[in-house]
Amino acid sequence: MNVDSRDIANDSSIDQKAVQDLRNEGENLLSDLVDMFIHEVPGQLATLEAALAKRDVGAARLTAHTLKGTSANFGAARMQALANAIEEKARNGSLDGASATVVELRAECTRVRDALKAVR
Amino acid sequence: MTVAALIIDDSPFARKIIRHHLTKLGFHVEGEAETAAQGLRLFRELKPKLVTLDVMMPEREGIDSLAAFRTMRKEVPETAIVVVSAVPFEKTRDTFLNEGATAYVIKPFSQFSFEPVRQKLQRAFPAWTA
Repeated sequence: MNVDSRDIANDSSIDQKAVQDLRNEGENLLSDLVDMFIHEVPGQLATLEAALAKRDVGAARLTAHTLKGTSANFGAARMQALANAIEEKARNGSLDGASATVVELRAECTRVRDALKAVR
Repeated sequence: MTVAALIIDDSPFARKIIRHHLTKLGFHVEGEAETAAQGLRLFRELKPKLVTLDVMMPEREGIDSLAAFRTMRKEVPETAIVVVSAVPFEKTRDTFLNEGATAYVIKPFSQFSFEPVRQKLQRAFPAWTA
């Protein structure tokens, strides 16, 4: 995949300021969102992998878009870039190479999950 | 004055954050929908004064976001509809704003995202004091 190197220059999986902003909102917003990440993302990844296996560009595009949106809430730049790369492939009608990208995305989601567990 | 709101968004993260901000602003979120079709049903049932509508959701039952938006505008033109989107395309934004959207908010949300919305909603609901 061709994620801009600027997107991965920071080896932190999540943006601490984005997380702090969520924490500052109070009312357990950050904690609730972390719980949602832990419970929702595995299913979204499975849906994306199934869409890629079926070469379903519409479902792949939407699910990658959803994962991109999820990542953006936490400033998870690399997760966002990987999901965006798959979404763009699907938007262009070709999923070539997307299966390799989703492997990277799954690994990055695990890193983001672990980082979020540590800060909630 | 309590203003009833409906959130239509397929992302549970977005729904959670929008609910948080709307509640902070003093709105009463009466319903949430995951699809445009479900949102349209709740719109007719709950008759909210404010709707937040995600642009990019999977089409279900033949209804996408733009179709739902146009139907709501036609059925109850005075409803304030805030369109939320991760898509910063001018054409998409202009389509909704030209057809009567109250505001167009780009995801991800920040503490500042809803300030312009609050100002527009104060104009839309003069009796609302949040």
